[in-house]
Parts: sequence; structure tokens; C-alpha cells
Amino acid sequence: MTKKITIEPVTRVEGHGKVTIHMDAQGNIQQSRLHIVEFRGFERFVQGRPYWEAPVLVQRLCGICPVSHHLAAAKALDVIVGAGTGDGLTPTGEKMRRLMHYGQFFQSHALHFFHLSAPDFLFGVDGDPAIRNIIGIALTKPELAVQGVMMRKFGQEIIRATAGKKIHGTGAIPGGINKNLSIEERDEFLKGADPLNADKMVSWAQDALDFFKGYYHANKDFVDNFSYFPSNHLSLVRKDGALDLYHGVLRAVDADGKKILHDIDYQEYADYIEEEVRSWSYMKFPYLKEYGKEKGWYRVGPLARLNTCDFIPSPLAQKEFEIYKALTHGKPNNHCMLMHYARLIETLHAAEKIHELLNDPDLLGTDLVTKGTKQKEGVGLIEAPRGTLFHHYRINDNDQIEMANLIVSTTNNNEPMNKAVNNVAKSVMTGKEVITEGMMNAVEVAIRAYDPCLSCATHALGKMPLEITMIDPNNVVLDQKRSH
Amino acid sequence: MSNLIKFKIDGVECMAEGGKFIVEAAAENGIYIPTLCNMKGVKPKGACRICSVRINGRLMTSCTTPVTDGMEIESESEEIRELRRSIVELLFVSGNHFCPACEKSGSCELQALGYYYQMMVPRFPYEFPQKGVDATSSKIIKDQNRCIFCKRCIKTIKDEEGRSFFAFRNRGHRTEVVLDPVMAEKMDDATAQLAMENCPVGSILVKEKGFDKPIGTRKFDKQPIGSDIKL
Amino acid sequence: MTQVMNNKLRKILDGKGVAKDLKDLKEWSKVLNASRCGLGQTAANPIVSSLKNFRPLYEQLIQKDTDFDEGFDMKSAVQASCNYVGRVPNFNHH
Repeated sequence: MTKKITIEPVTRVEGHGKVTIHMDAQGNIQQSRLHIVEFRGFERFVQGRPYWEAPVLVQRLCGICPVSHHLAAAKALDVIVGAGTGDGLTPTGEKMRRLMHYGQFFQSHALHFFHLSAPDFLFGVDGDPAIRNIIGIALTKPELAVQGVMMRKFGQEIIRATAGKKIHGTGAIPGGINKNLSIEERDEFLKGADPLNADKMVSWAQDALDFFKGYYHANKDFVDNFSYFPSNHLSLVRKDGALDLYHGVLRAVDADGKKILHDIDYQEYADYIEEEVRSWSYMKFPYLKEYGKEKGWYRVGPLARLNTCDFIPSPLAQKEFEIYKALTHGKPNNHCMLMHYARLIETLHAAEKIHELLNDPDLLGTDLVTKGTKQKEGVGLIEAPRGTLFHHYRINDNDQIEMANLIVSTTNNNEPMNKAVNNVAKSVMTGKEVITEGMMNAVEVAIRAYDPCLSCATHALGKMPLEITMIDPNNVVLDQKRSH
Repeated sequence: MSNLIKFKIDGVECMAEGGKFIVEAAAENGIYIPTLCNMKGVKPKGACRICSVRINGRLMTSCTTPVTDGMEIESESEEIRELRRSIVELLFVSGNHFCPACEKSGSCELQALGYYYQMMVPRFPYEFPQKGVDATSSKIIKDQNRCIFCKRCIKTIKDEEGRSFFAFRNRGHRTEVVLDPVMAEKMDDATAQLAMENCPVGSILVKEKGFDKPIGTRKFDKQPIGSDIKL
Repeated sequence: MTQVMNNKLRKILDGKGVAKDLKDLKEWSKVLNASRCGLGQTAANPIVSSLKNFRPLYEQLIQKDTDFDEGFDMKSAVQASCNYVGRVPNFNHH
């Protein structure tokens, strides 16, 4: 007799997904899958729209990282309006966009760490689900909850100052930006009342990192062994190999750190990356062409970024980066749970960069837009908080979008998340008679590490009903449990 | 100013030159009556009905009715407000008005009226009509999804010889405002820009120009429509 | 407006109408009073007068005991969501 376990919906992630686990009579895991059951269809309905609408239209994909979509689309359109492949903008144009992007990174990472993941660290993976959520944090460690909320607020305010609105703004336009930063806005961020100023944010980012390091050292065995599996890693890096979240060349390394994609120009991404469709999920499976479907899949996101880059171009984050790299003796890190570590190093990097940019007079400049010879096609890549984001547009003679292809970060992580689910299911559920809530949460913890953005909305505060159903081969429901 | 007459709007004593249309007379007295199809300097048509008021028990459009001595006008009663809100909602359901990705969002008169009448969601079912986008002209994109048939472009966008660039096509609910393809080739940048500005919604868009006005600086970002008239 | 009312009438003729649809038709017809021409102002008359004089015929067509249109019950949804988060619903406020 086989059993099928369904975890639906997966909680404390952005969007809606479900997990199915098939077990045989001996309790061995036969197969586990993460299904993405939402269908968005943006690639289709952006067709026929004037191209300059794209950055504003496609960002509606998501309410958590609209800025990433906004900027990736704008970068693709920079190419179309002849402003170069991402580095041809005016200093004000590029730096305003970077500021917007770092603000976005800062708030998104803070959201993920404090609101979505920290409950697992504070209360344990199998802690009481009634308090294992942000409300539980607010009750037991109010200062941590306040910190999370304020860090998000700071990031959001940066986005408002650069894009006009905290969510779904209009700042980036093809070839540049539509506003500069005013002196008042800049001073507010630099010298704002405690805690909303750049200095405090840098120090809080360090605190959050210390908090995780404390957790890591106390739970080293668990963290190191939780869903470890080797994989390829892909991300953008600056031409000199530095971590760059806004622009760069595409690099991939294998599990041992060997370069398997050699700093290519991302305009040619289609020569290197292909996508596969599988019947049970709305999400496609991308892989590196050269290595095929079996071996070519890769991870993106914080873990991948710190594996591909050679150094971090901001002093405090670089120092933390060296400590972090020493854990794996300079080799790529393949520990699922250390994604949180990497994410917090990036949070610190973003805070430092925000600080640095705010002191840059270029932000106050008035030369906002560049245009050149028009092209028919453009690709824009950006490192979104969750990983590499691809936007690719082609326009017709009437300036309407003819074709759009989006490979979003979570899509890139599709195969790794499935691997992680399978791994954890095998290690915690094999041979077990009774499936506990803690076991189910362990599967979710693995997914959560990737901070997947399954669609556009946060429904999840760890309070959504979790349902588990055991079904025999004749589809008779054996047992059903529901928790909330 | 010997021609001054007295009239009342919602019981408020007003004065204006006799023969003026009610909308203008009201504006001179600091009273805002919403309009969509009406434009200063253009012969009024009374098409959109949003400026409807009640005079002597009858519904009249205040953009086409001249004010007369002793006239008593009812404009802000609950009934009239409800009627105007219905009209705004009808315009929203009979087209495809997706504000989020629209260039005119923040400068759109229809959107501003939606806010003004605190429309949450239309009471009428959306029709989701299938409408096209005409992008064949080199200067302008005409997005039929957003057109509200106010006729402002037809009446104001003309060449030196007085010929309109825009015209109606088809009848009834299949009506469309289209750009004459031959005339469109002769359109200059200033005319294209004027056409976009005169369009109360986002149906006429100048090509390659979008979102360059940041949020916060758009027409209705800071204050609701009619604020420039209201006392 | 005529289009909206026509769609509504079709819904009723298709047997998918509910009591609220009849109310809506009557209510919405008032908008047409503001129409520009006489034709528009009287366009809703066939519906309004037939509703007035032949109401039973309409009532035969609509679904009884169901308000399909408003299949969403606010009160029970609020109650369910409050159960999850352990709050006491405040129904007076809504």
C-alpha cells in the first residue's frame, strides 16, 4: 500500500504552492514534488502593449519585489531604446536605480528573515505552531520584531523616494529614471530620527547577522546536515568578479567551484539556457544547455551569488564574506540552511551600499535619460533578492511588444527546491508511521530557505491552514489532519 | 456688467452674466460641477451627462444649459451624486480601464472622478469588451480599451484647414474613435502632445513617451479634481 | 447602460437570475433618465413597465431560495478568519 501526503498550502512563503509526497508500504519515499499551482500569464498579456508600459505593467507580478521586475524590464528596454546594455545610462540614472534596488534588497531580505524565517530559528523547526510565527516573535522578543518592521520601513522609504511609491512605482523608464533625489530626501535618510537612518540600518544588519551566527553555532549539526546537496550555482557578477546585484556578466560554477559559464554577456542568455515544461507544475524548469536537463540545473539566490562572486565591494560585508567562505574552505557552499547566512551578508552589503550612494552627489544630478539608436530586441537581467531575474522583450515596427519571456528567480530555483523537498522528506519521514506537524514544517523550512516568490501576494503569516491527507492507492482517504 | 443676473445652486445665491452656461457660471461662483466631455473654448455637446443637474424637476446638462435669472439649480443632492457616480461606474465597466499600468494614471480625469465620488467597485458587471490598440501611426497610439467617446479629440485636434485628425467609426456599442491614417502621417509632435493632453483618459498616447512625470507631480496627485474651482 | 441592462435581462432569460437582478433592473433604469435624447430616456421603459405589470412572469424565471450572486457570506468569512487567529469578531463595526 502506498501513501500520498499533501502539504497545502505551503506557509510563510510568498504565494501559493503545495507539496505531495508519495510513500510506499514500507514507508519509503518514492517521490516528492513541489507544485506551483498558480498561473500568471504576464508573458501573454503584455503582448500588443506599447513597450514603455512594460516596466510598470510587469512589476504587478509581485508585491514583494516589484522593483526587481520594474528594473529588469527597464534594463531590457534600455537596450531597445539604444541606451546600451545596462551600463550606458547617465550616472544619475544608474545610481538612482541602484539605490532603488538596494532599498528593495534591504526590505525584502528583512521581510524574509524576520517575518518568515526567524520563527523557525527562535522556536525550532518543530516548535509549537501556535507561536511559531511573527506574532510569537512580537510577544517573546519584541525588540527583534520592531527591528524587522523598521528595517522594512527604511527600505520601503528608499523605494518611495526613488520610484514615487513604496509598491509599484514608476521611477525607471526606458533609458533612465524619471526623478532625482532631492537634498531633503537624502538628508532624511542620512540623518533621520533614530532608528530610521542609514547608520542604524547598517548596525542592525550586523545585529541580524550576529543573531543568525549565534543560532548557527548552537545548532551546527542540524544546519550543516539539513538538506545538503551539491549543485551548480548561477548569478550575475561584476566584470571584475565582485558581487553586483544590479548589473554584470553571467557566471555559473559547479559544486566544486569550477567555472562552467564563463562570464558571458547576458544578451546571449538564450544560447546557454533552456527551459523544460513538466506536466505537474505551472513553473518551468530551466537548465544550462551545455550540460543537459539532468546535470544542467542550477541554484540562484543569495547562496549562489556568494558562491560565484570573488569578493564583496563593501568593507563590512567583505569581512563577513571571508568568515563565511572559510566555513567551506573557499569552496562553494551547498548547505541549504546557510542560504540565510548568505542572505544576511547581502542585507549588510545593501545597507552599506545605500549609505555609500546617499553620499554620492550624482544622485542629485539632473541628466536623467539617455537614448540612442533603437533596437528591436532587448534582454535585461538583474539579481533580484531571490535570484537572477531574466526579462526578454521583442518589439514590432509599431513599438508594440511582440514577444516577452520572463524567467523569474523562483523558476530558476525550481529544480533545487524539488531536490530539497525530496531530501528532507526522505530524511525526516522515511519509515515513520505517523506524520507530525513538525515533519511537515521541516519540508516547508527547506522550501522557505529559498524564499520562493510563488506569485504576487503574501497571504502567509504562518497562520494559514495546513492540510495533510493520506490516501491509499484506490484514492481512499485514510487519514486527514488539519492544523492552523 | 449690466447683464448680471441672480440664480441659486443648491440654495446658494450666485451671480453671473446672463446666458453663460451653468458649468462656467458655477465655476465663477466657486462651485464645482464635474465635466468630462466639456472643454473650455469648445462648443459643448452634453454627451457624457456627468454634469447633469436638476432644474425645475428636469435633468439637464449644465454644460449646455445657459443660466437665466432666478434659476434654481440642484447639483449636489444625494440623487444627483448617485447619478454621477453611476455614470462614472458605467464608463469603467464599458471599457477596459486598468489604471495600474496606464500612463495617464494620476492625470486621468475619469480616475480622478472615480476618487471624487469615492467609487470602490462598480455596481455594474464588467463587460470586458474585446477592443484593440491601433499603433500604426508614427506619432500616436490609440488604445480603444480606454476610450470614453467624449469627442474632445475630434473637436480640438485639427489641421490648418480645419480637418479633424480623429473621427467616429461604426455605431452603437461598436462605436470607435479612430485616427485617420492619411492625416496621421502629417501630424507634428506638438499636435500629438496636445491630443494626448486633451484626452481625459489614457486612450491617446504619444509614442515613446511614458511615465516621465514622477508620481507626486501629476495633476491629481495632491488634490482632488475640482479643487481649483472650489472656494 | 442599455448594454448593461440587456446583459442582465439575458441572464434572467437564461434562468440564471436571482431576486436581486429584478431589483437592480428597476434601480439601474433611473440612470437612463439622464440620457441625452428621448430615445435613450425611454429605452428602459419596456423593462420597467413589464416588470410593473407582468412581475409574476419574471419571478417564474428567477431562481428561488438562492442568492447565487452573493454567494459570499461576509459574516461567516469573518468568523472563520477570526477562528484562525483567535480574535473575537466585531460584527457591529461592519
